[in-house]
Amino acid sequence: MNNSIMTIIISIISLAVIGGVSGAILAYASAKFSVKTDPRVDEVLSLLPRANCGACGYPSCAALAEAIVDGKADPTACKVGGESTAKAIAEKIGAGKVELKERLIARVFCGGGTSKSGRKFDYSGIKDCDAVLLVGGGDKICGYGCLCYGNCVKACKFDAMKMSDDGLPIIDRDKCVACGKCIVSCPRKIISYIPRSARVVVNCCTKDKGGYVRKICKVGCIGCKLCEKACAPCAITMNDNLPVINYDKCNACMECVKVCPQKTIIAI
Amino acid sequence: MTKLFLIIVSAILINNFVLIKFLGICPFVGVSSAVDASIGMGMAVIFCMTLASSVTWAIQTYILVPFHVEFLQTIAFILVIAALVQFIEMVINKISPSLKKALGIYLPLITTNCAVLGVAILNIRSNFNFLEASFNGFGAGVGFTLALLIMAGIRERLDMAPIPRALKGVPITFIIASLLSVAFLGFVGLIPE
Repeated sequence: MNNSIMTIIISIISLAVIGGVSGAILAYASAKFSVKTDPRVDEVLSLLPRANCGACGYPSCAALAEAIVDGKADPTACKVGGESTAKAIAEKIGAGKVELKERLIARVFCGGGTSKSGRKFDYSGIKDCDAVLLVGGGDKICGYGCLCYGNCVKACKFDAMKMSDDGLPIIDRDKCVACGKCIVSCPRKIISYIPRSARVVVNCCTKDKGGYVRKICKVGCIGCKLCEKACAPCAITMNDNLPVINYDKCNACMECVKVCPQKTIIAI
Repeated sequence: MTKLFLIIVSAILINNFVLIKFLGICPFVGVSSAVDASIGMGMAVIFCMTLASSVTWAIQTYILVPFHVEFLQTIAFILVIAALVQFIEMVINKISPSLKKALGIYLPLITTNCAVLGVAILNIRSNFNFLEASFNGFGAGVGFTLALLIMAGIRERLDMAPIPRALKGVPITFIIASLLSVAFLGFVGLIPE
Protein backbone atom coordinates (compact mmCIF):
# COMPACT_ATOMS: atom_id res chain seq x y z
CA MET A 1 0.00 0.00 0.00
CA ASN A 2 2.65 2.39 1.12
CA ASN A 3 4.77 1.32 -1.84
CA SER A 4 2.13 2.09 -4.46
CA ILE A 5 1.49 5.53 -2.99
CA MET A 6 5.21 6.19 -3.23
CA THR A 7 5.14 5.12 -6.89
CA ILE A 8 2.28 7.50 -7.60
CA ILE A 9 4.06 10.37 -5.90
CA ILE A 10 7.31 9.65 -7.72
CA SER A 11 5.50 9.48 -11.09
CA ILE A 12 3.78 12.78 -10.47
CA ILE A 13 6.97 14.46 -9.38
CA SER A 14 9.14 13.09 -12.20
CA LEU A 15 6.59 14.00 -14.90
CA ALA A 16 6.07 17.41 -13.33
CA VAL A 17 9.82 17.97 -13.33
CA ILE A 18 10.22 16.89 -16.97
CA GLY A 19 7.24 19.02 -18.02
CA GLY A 20 8.30 21.96 -15.88
CA VAL A 21 11.87 21.94 -17.15
CA SER A 22 10.77 21.67 -20.82
CA GLY A 23 8.22 24.40 -20.24
CA ALA A 24 10.80 26.66 -18.67
CA ILE A 25 13.26 26.05 -21.52
CA LEU A 26 10.54 26.82 -24.07
CA ALA A 27 9.49 29.96 -22.26
CA TYR A 28 13.09 31.11 -22.10
CA ALA A 29 13.66 30.20 -25.76
CA SER A 30 10.57 32.03 -26.98
CA ALA A 31 11.86 35.19 -25.34
CA LYS A 32 15.50 34.66 -26.27
CA PHE A 33 14.93 33.56 -29.85
CA SER A 34 11.98 35.78 -30.70
CA VAL A 35 12.16 37.13 -34.22
CA LYS A 36 10.97 40.65 -34.85
CA THR A 37 8.54 40.80 -37.75
CA ASP A 38 7.51 44.02 -39.40
CA PRO A 39 3.90 44.75 -38.34
CA ARG A 40 3.38 46.42 -41.72
CA VAL A 41 3.57 43.01 -43.43
CA ASP A 42 0.35 41.92 -41.74
CA GLU A 43 -1.27 45.28 -42.46
CA VAL A 44 -0.36 45.13 -46.15
CA LEU A 45 -1.53 41.53 -46.27
CA SER A 46 -4.91 42.57 -44.87
CA LEU A 47 -5.26 45.03 -47.77
CA LEU A 48 -4.48 42.43 -50.44
CA PRO A 49 -7.27 40.26 -51.87
CA ARG A 50 -5.72 37.11 -50.31
CA ALA A 51 -6.85 34.96 -53.22
CA ASN A 52 -3.27 33.59 -53.51
CA CYS A 53 -3.70 33.52 -57.30
CA GLY A 54 -0.01 34.09 -58.04
CA ALA A 55 -0.61 36.69 -60.76
CA CYS A 56 2.01 38.99 -59.21
CA GLY A 57 4.71 36.35 -59.54
CA TYR A 58 4.88 35.57 -55.82
CA PRO A 59 3.58 32.24 -54.53
CA SER A 60 1.10 33.80 -52.10
CA CYS A 61 -0.37 37.12 -51.00
CA ALA A 62 1.72 36.85 -47.81
CA ALA A 63 4.92 36.59 -49.88
CA LEU A 64 3.91 39.64 -51.91
CA ALA A 65 3.12 41.60 -48.74
CA GLU A 66 6.60 40.81 -47.44
CA ALA A 67 8.17 41.85 -50.76
CA ILE A 68 6.23 45.13 -50.86
CA VAL A 69 7.29 46.04 -47.32
CA ASP A 70 10.91 45.12 -48.15
CA GLY A 71 10.71 47.41 -51.16
CA LYS A 72 11.32 44.51 -53.55
CA ALA A 73 7.89 44.77 -55.13
CA ASP A 74 5.84 47.73 -56.25
CA PRO A 75 2.62 48.61 -54.39
CA THR A 76 0.86 48.22 -57.74
CA ALA A 77 2.14 44.64 -58.15
CA CYS A 78 -1.25 43.15 -57.29
CA LYS A 79 -3.20 43.09 -60.54
CA VAL A 80 -6.27 41.72 -58.85
CA GLY A 81 -6.70 44.49 -56.29
CA GLY A 82 -6.30 47.22 -58.90
CA GLU A 83 -6.27 50.90 -58.17
CA SER A 84 -7.91 51.01 -54.74
CA THR A 85 -5.61 48.33 -53.30
CA ALA A 86 -2.51 49.96 -54.74
CA LYS A 87 -3.44 53.32 -53.24
CA ALA A 88 -4.21 51.85 -49.83
CA ILE A 89 -0.93 49.93 -49.77
CA ALA A 90 1.10 52.92 -50.93
CA GLU A 91 -0.45 54.95 -48.13
CA LYS A 92 0.31 52.25 -45.58
CA ILE A 93 3.99 51.97 -46.46
CA GLY A 94 4.36 55.67 -47.20
CA ALA A 95 5.31 55.33 -50.84
CA GLY A 96 3.33 58.42 -51.82
CA LYS A 97 1.74 58.60 -55.25
CA VAL A 98 1.59 55.51 -57.40
CA GLU A 99 1.42 55.41 -61.14
CA LEU A 100 -1.07 52.91 -62.36
CA LYS A 101 -0.61 50.94 -65.50
CA GLU A 102 -3.49 50.45 -67.91
CA ARG A 103 -5.71 47.68 -66.66
CA LEU A 104 -5.78 44.54 -68.76
CA ILE A 105 -8.28 41.83 -69.47
CA ALA A 106 -7.79 38.32 -70.79
CA ARG A 107 -9.17 37.47 -74.22
CA VAL A 108 -9.63 34.18 -76.04
CA PHE A 109 -8.52 34.74 -79.62
CA CYS A 110 -10.78 32.27 -81.39
CA GLY A 111 -14.32 32.51 -82.72
CA GLY A 112 -14.57 29.00 -84.08
CA GLY A 113 -17.01 27.26 -81.76
CA THR A 114 -18.48 23.84 -82.54
CA SER A 115 -20.99 25.32 -84.99
CA LYS A 116 -18.37 27.28 -86.94
CA SER A 117 -15.33 25.03 -87.06
CA GLY A 118 -15.20 21.30 -87.81
CA ARG A 119 -13.80 18.29 -86.03
CA LYS A 120 -11.44 15.64 -87.35
CA PHE A 121 -12.85 12.79 -85.28
CA ASP A 122 -15.12 11.96 -82.36
CA TYR A 123 -13.15 12.28 -79.18
CA SER A 124 -14.53 10.49 -76.16
CA GLY A 125 -11.59 10.60 -73.75
CA ILE A 126 -10.92 12.82 -70.76
CA LYS A 127 -12.54 16.24 -71.17
CA ASP A 128 -9.28 18.16 -70.92
CA CYS A 129 -7.46 20.32 -73.48
CA ASP A 130 -4.04 18.86 -72.63
CA ALA A 131 -5.39 15.33 -72.93
CA VAL A 132 -7.12 15.84 -76.28
CA LEU A 133 -3.99 17.45 -77.66
CA LEU A 134 -2.15 14.16 -77.14
CA VAL A 135 -4.56 12.39 -79.48
CA GLY A 136 -3.47 13.31 -82.99
CA GLY A 137 -2.97 16.96 -82.06
CA GLY A 138 -6.56 17.50 -80.94
CA ASP A 139 -9.90 16.71 -82.50
CA LYS A 140 -10.35 20.18 -84.01
CA ILE A 141 -9.46 20.48 -87.70
CA CYS A 142 -8.01 23.94 -87.12
CA GLY A 143 -4.51 23.57 -85.74
CA TYR A 144 -4.62 26.92 -83.97
CA GLY A 145 -8.13 27.31 -82.59
CA CYS A 146 -9.76 26.69 -79.25
CA LEU A 147 -10.00 23.02 -78.28
CA CYS A 148 -13.21 23.72 -76.36
CA TYR A 149 -12.53 21.48 -73.35
CA GLY A 150 -12.34 24.36 -70.91
CA ASN A 151 -8.95 24.12 -69.19
CA CYS A 152 -9.05 27.90 -68.84
CA VAL A 153 -12.47 27.79 -67.18
CA LYS A 154 -11.16 25.26 -64.67
CA ALA A 155 -8.07 27.41 -64.05
CA CYS A 156 -10.03 30.61 -63.36
CA LYS A 157 -10.16 31.23 -59.62
CA PHE A 158 -12.40 34.27 -59.94
CA ASP A 159 -15.37 32.60 -61.60
CA ALA A 160 -14.90 34.94 -64.55
CA MET A 161 -14.98 32.30 -67.31
CA LYS A 162 -17.62 29.96 -68.54
CA MET A 163 -18.19 27.88 -71.67
CA SER A 164 -20.70 29.22 -74.15
CA ASP A 165 -23.31 27.00 -75.79
CA ASP A 166 -21.08 26.98 -78.84
CA GLY A 167 -18.19 25.54 -76.80
CA LEU A 168 -16.05 28.63 -76.54
CA PRO A 169 -14.89 30.15 -73.26
CA ILE A 170 -16.47 33.52 -72.47
CA ILE A 171 -14.73 35.98 -70.18
CA ASP A 172 -16.81 38.09 -67.82
CA ARG A 173 -15.50 41.67 -68.06
CA ASP A 174 -16.59 42.54 -64.56
CA LYS A 175 -14.99 39.52 -62.94
CA CYS A 176 -11.74 39.16 -64.90
CA VAL A 177 -8.82 40.49 -62.88
CA ALA A 178 -6.08 39.65 -65.41
CA CYS A 179 -4.35 37.16 -63.11
CA GLY A 180 -3.09 35.18 -66.11
CA LYS A 181 -4.07 31.71 -64.85
CA CYS A 182 -6.10 30.97 -68.00
CA ILE A 183 -3.26 32.16 -70.24
CA VAL A 184 -0.93 29.63 -68.65
CA SER A 185 -3.53 26.86 -68.70
CA CYS A 186 -4.22 27.08 -72.45
CA PRO A 187 -2.12 24.49 -74.36
CA ARG A 188 -2.87 26.25 -77.67
CA LYS A 189 -1.69 29.61 -76.26
CA ILE A 190 -4.65 31.47 -77.74
CA ILE A 191 -5.49 33.49 -74.63
CA SER A 192 -3.63 36.74 -74.00
CA TYR A 193 -4.09 40.16 -72.50
CA ILE A 194 -5.65 43.13 -74.25
CA PRO A 195 -6.17 46.59 -72.74
CA ARG A 196 -9.56 47.01 -71.09
CA SER A 197 -10.18 50.00 -73.34
CA ALA A 198 -9.76 47.93 -76.53
CA ARG A 199 -12.88 48.07 -78.73
CA VAL A 200 -11.99 45.68 -81.56
CA VAL A 201 -10.23 42.32 -81.63
CA VAL A 202 -8.99 39.99 -84.33
CA ASN A 203 -10.81 36.92 -83.11
CA CYS A 204 -8.51 34.31 -84.64
CA CYS A 205 -5.05 32.83 -84.22
CA THR A 206 -4.57 30.91 -87.45
CA LYS A 207 -1.38 31.12 -89.46
CA ASP A 208 -2.76 28.89 -92.24
CA LYS A 209 -3.32 30.09 -95.81
CA GLY A 210 -6.65 31.77 -96.58
CA GLY A 211 -8.06 29.09 -98.88
CA TYR A 212 -7.57 26.35 -96.32
CA VAL A 213 -8.99 28.45 -93.49
CA ARG A 214 -12.13 29.14 -95.55
CA LYS A 215 -12.72 25.39 -95.84
CA ILE A 216 -12.37 24.56 -92.14
CA CYS A 217 -13.78 27.56 -90.29
CA LYS A 218 -16.61 30.00 -90.95
CA VAL A 219 -15.02 32.82 -88.97
CA GLY A 220 -11.30 32.21 -89.49
CA CYS A 221 -8.97 34.91 -90.83
CA ILE A 222 -8.16 34.37 -94.51
CA GLY A 223 -5.41 36.98 -94.58
CA CYS A 224 -7.11 39.19 -97.20
CA LYS A 225 -5.51 42.37 -95.77
CA LEU A 226 -8.72 44.42 -96.31
CA CYS A 227 -8.56 45.55 -92.70
CA GLU A 228 -4.99 46.70 -93.09
CA LYS A 229 -5.99 48.87 -96.06
CA ALA A 230 -9.14 50.15 -94.37
CA CYS A 231 -7.41 51.23 -91.18
CA ALA A 232 -7.04 55.02 -91.31
CA PRO A 233 -4.58 55.40 -88.39
CA CYS A 234 -2.47 52.45 -89.70
CA ALA A 235 -2.97 50.52 -86.46
CA ILE A 236 -3.22 47.16 -88.26
CA THR A 237 -0.21 45.31 -89.59
CA MET A 238 -0.12 41.85 -91.11
CA ASN A 239 2.01 39.23 -89.40
CA ASP A 240 2.03 35.61 -90.68
CA ASN A 241 -1.29 35.99 -92.55
CA LEU A 242 -2.91 37.48 -89.48
CA PRO A 243 -3.67 41.13 -88.70
CA VAL A 244 -2.23 42.52 -85.48
CA ILE A 245 -3.88 45.57 -83.90
CA ASN A 246 -1.72 48.16 -82.21
CA TYR A 247 -4.08 49.46 -79.51
CA ASP A 248 -1.98 52.59 -78.95
CA LYS A 249 -2.94 53.74 -82.46
CA CYS A 250 -6.45 52.31 -82.76
CA ASN A 251 -9.15 54.99 -82.71
CA ALA A 252 -12.08 52.54 -82.63
CA CYS A 253 -13.50 53.74 -85.97
CA MET A 254 -14.77 50.19 -86.64
CA GLU A 255 -13.80 50.33 -90.33
CA CYS A 256 -11.93 47.01 -90.01
CA VAL A 257 -15.03 45.37 -88.53
CA LYS A 258 -17.10 46.59 -91.49
CA VAL A 259 -14.72 45.37 -94.20
CA CYS A 260 -13.81 41.98 -92.75
CA PRO A 261 -15.42 39.39 -95.08
CA GLN A 262 -15.16 36.53 -92.58
CA LYS A 263 -16.40 38.53 -89.58
CA THR A 264 -13.12 37.63 -87.89
CA ILE A 265 -12.57 41.13 -86.59
CA ILE A 266 -15.33 41.92 -84.13
CA ALA A 267 -16.33 44.81 -81.95
CA ILE A 268 -16.38 44.10 -78.23
CA MET B 1 32.47 0.82 -35.04
CA THR B 2 31.20 -2.16 -37.02
CA LYS B 3 28.21 -2.34 -34.76
CA LEU B 4 27.33 1.32 -35.37
CA PHE B 5 27.59 0.78 -39.12
CA LEU B 6 25.40 -2.28 -38.91
CA ILE B 7 22.85 -0.36 -36.84
CA ILE B 8 22.61 2.33 -39.51
CA VAL B 9 22.33 -0.12 -42.42
CA SER B 10 19.80 -2.12 -40.50
CA ALA B 11 17.68 0.95 -39.70
CA ILE B 12 17.77 2.18 -43.30
CA LEU B 13 17.18 -1.02 -45.24
CA ILE B 14 16.39 -4.09 -43.21
CA ASN B 15 14.17 -2.56 -40.55
CA ASN B 16 12.96 0.38 -42.61
CA PHE B 17 10.52 2.22 -40.39
CA VAL B 18 7.90 2.83 -43.01
CA LEU B 19 8.09 -0.20 -45.23
CA ILE B 20 8.92 -2.95 -42.73
CA LYS B 21 7.76 -1.66 -39.37
CA PHE B 22 4.78 0.29 -40.79
CA LEU B 23 5.37 3.36 -38.64
CA GLY B 24 4.79 6.89 -39.88
CA ILE B 25 2.41 5.87 -42.66
CA CYS B 26 0.51 9.15 -42.37
CA PRO B 27 3.30 11.45 -43.60
CA PHE B 28 4.44 8.70 -45.97
CA VAL B 29 1.14 8.96 -47.83
CA GLY B 30 0.47 12.61 -47.10
CA VAL B 31 3.73 14.30 -48.02
CA SER B 32 4.88 12.01 -50.83
CA SER B 33 3.10 13.74 -53.71
CA ALA B 34 6.11 15.83 -54.75
CA VAL B 35 9.86 15.19 -54.52
CA ASP B 36 10.63 18.69 -53.16
CA ALA B 37 8.25 18.38 -50.25
CA SER B 38 9.40 14.86 -49.45
CA ILE B 39 13.04 15.98 -49.24
CA GLY B 40 12.04 18.76 -46.82
CA MET B 41 10.00 16.37 -44.73
CA GLY B 42 12.78 13.75 -44.80
CA MET B 43 15.38 16.21 -43.57
CA ALA B 44 13.07 17.32 -40.75
CA VAL B 45 12.50 13.69 -39.76
CA ILE B 46 16.23 12.82 -39.79
CA PHE B 47 16.92 15.86 -37.64
CA CYS B 48 14.10 15.13 -35.25
CA MET B 49 14.73 11.39 -34.88
CA THR B 50 18.44 11.82 -34.18
CA LEU B 51 17.85 14.39 -31.46
CA ALA B 52 14.82 12.62 -30.03
CA SER B 53 16.76 9.35 -29.78
CA SER B 54 19.54 10.96 -27.79
CA VAL B 55 17.29 12.95 -25.47
CA THR B 56 14.81 10.17 -24.77
CA TRP B 57 17.68 7.78 -24.08
CA ALA B 58 18.93 10.22 -21.44
CA ILE B 59 15.45 10.61 -19.96
CA GLN B 60 15.02 6.84 -19.74
CA THR B 61 18.45 6.16 -18.27
CA TYR B 62 18.70 9.02 -15.79
CA ILE B 63 15.10 9.61 -14.73
CA LEU B 64 12.72 6.76 -15.49
CA VAL B 65 14.96 3.80 -14.57
CA PRO B 66 16.49 5.14 -11.32
CA PHE B 67 13.04 6.07 -9.98
CA HIS B 68 11.45 2.80 -11.19
CA VAL B 69 8.75 4.60 -13.18
CA GLU B 70 9.41 2.96 -16.58
CA PHE B 71 5.65 2.74 -17.18
CA LEU B 72 5.70 6.50 -17.77
CA GLN B 73 7.84 5.94 -20.86
CA THR B 74 5.23 6.80 -23.50
CA ILE B 75 3.90 9.99 -21.95
CA ALA B 76 7.33 11.21 -20.88
CA PHE B 77 8.77 10.60 -24.36
CA ILE B 78 5.91 12.36 -26.13
CA LEU B 79 6.23 15.30 -23.77
CA VAL B 80 9.96 15.57 -24.29
CA ILE B 81 9.84 15.10 -28.08
CA ALA B 82 7.12 17.72 -28.49
CA ALA B 83 9.01 20.22 -26.34
CA LEU B 84 12.25 19.43 -28.17
CA VAL B 85 10.77 19.99 -31.63
CA GLN B 86 9.17 23.22 -30.46
CA PHE B 87 12.53 24.36 -29.11
CA ILE B 88 14.38 23.43 -32.29
CA GLU B 89 11.82 25.33 -34.33
CA MET B 90 12.39 28.48 -32.30
CA VAL B 91 16.16 28.19 -32.61
CA ILE B 92 16.00 27.57 -36.36
CA ASN B 93 13.63 30.49 -36.75
CA LYS B 94 16.21 32.73 -35.11
CA ILE B 95 19.46 31.54 -36.63
CA SER B 96 18.49 30.46 -40.13
CA PRO B 97 15.35 31.78 -41.87
CA SER B 98 16.21 29.79 -44.99
CA LEU B 99 16.36 26.50 -43.07
CA LYS B 100 13.14 27.53 -41.36
CA LYS B 101 11.53 27.99 -44.76
CA ALA B 102 12.70 24.55 -45.86
CA LEU B 103 11.75 22.61 -42.71
CA GLY B 104 9.30 24.99 -41.08
CA ILE B 105 5.97 23.53 -42.06
CA TYR B 106 7.14 19.95 -41.59
CA LEU B 107 8.53 20.20 -38.07
CA PRO B 108 5.19 20.64 -36.26
CA LEU B 109 3.82 17.73 -38.30
CA ILE B 110 6.26 15.27 -36.79
CA THR B 111 6.18 16.33 -33.15
CA THR B 112 3.82 13.55 -32.24
CA ASN B 113 4.61 11.25 -35.13
CA CYS B 114 4.54 7.57 -34.26
CA ALA B 115 7.78 6.90 -36.14
CA VAL B 116 9.66 9.36 -33.95
CA LEU B 117 8.15 7.92 -30.79
CA GLY B 118 8.68 4.43 -32.20
CA VAL B 119 12.41 4.89 -32.70
CA ALA B 120 12.75 6.23 -29.15
CA ILE B 121 10.96 3.25 -27.62
CA LEU B 122 12.73 0.69 -29.83
CA ASN B 123 16.08 2.14 -28.78
CA ILE B 124 15.26 1.35 -25.17
CA ARG B 125 13.92 -2.13 -25.99
CA SER B 126 17.10 -2.97 -27.90
CA ASN B 127 19.23 -1.97 -24.88
CA PHE B 128 21.28 0.45 -26.98
CA ASN B 129 23.81 2.74 -25.35
CA PHE B 130 23.74 6.48 -25.98
CA LEU B 131 25.81 6.45 -29.16
CA GLU B 132 24.00 3.43 -30.60
CA ALA B 133 20.65 5.04 -29.88
CA SER B 134 21.62 8.24 -31.67
CA PHE B 135 22.92 6.33 -34.68
CA ASN B 136 19.79 4.22 -34.80
CA GLY B 137 17.71 7.40 -34.72
CA PHE B 138 19.74 8.86 -37.57
CA GLY B 139 19.50 5.64 -39.61
CA ALA B 140 15.76 5.42 -39.03
CA GLY B 141 15.40 8.98 -40.28
CA VAL B 142 17.43 8.25 -43.40
CA GLY B 143 15.37 5.11 -44.00
CA PHE B 144 12.17 7.15 -43.71
CA THR B 145 13.53 9.72 -46.15
CA LEU B 146 14.55 6.99 -48.58
CA ALA B 147 11.08 5.45 -48.52
CA LEU B 148 9.46 8.87 -48.88
CA LEU B 149 11.69 9.84 -51.80
CA ILE B 150 11.10 6.59 -53.69
CA MET B 151 7.38 7.02 -53.15
CA ALA B 152 7.38 10.66 -54.26
CA GLY B 153 9.34 9.77 -57.41
CA ILE B 154 6.86 7.05 -58.28
CA ARG B 155 3.85 9.25 -57.55
CA GLU B 156 5.15 12.07 -59.75
CA ARG B 157 5.26 9.58 -62.61
CA LEU B 158 1.85 8.20 -61.67
CA ASP B 159 0.32 11.62 -62.36
CA MET B 160 0.97 10.97 -66.04
CA ALA B 161 -0.11 7.34 -66.04
CA PRO B 162 -3.55 6.11 -67.08
CA ILE B 163 -4.90 4.75 -63.80
CA PRO B 164 -8.39 3.26 -63.55
CA ARG B 165 -10.70 5.76 -61.90
CA ALA B 166 -11.43 3.52 -58.93
CA LEU B 167 -7.75 3.34 -58.04
CA LYS B 168 -6.86 7.01 -58.49
CA GLY B 169 -5.24 8.85 -55.59
CA VAL B 170 -4.80 7.05 -52.29
CA PRO B 171 -5.76 3.48 -53.38
CA ILE B 172 -2.98 3.21 -55.97
CA THR B 173 -0.62 4.77 -53.42
CA PHE B 174 -1.37 2.00 -50.94
CA ILE B 175 -0.87 -0.66 -53.60
CA ILE B 176 2.51 0.84 -54.46
CA ALA B 177 3.42 1.09 -50.79
CA SER B 178 2.68 -2.61 -50.35
CA LEU B 179 4.78 -3.53 -53.40
CA LEU B 180 7.63 -1.38 -52.08
CA SER B 181 7.30 -3.10 -48.75
CA VAL B 182 7.55 -6.51 -50.39
CA ALA B 183 10.62 -5.32 -52.30
CA PHE B 184 12.26 -4.15 -49.08
CA LEU B 185 11.65 -7.61 -47.56
CA GLY B 186 14.43 -8.70 -49.90
CA PHE B 187 16.92 -6.98 -47.60
CA VAL B 188 16.06 -9.29 -44.72
CA GLY B 189 19.04 -11.58 -44.16
CA LEU B 190 21.51 -9.00 -45.49
CA ILE B 191 23.22 -9.04 -42.12
CA PRO B 192 23.76 -12.58 -40.78
CA GLU B 193 22.65 -12.93 -37.17
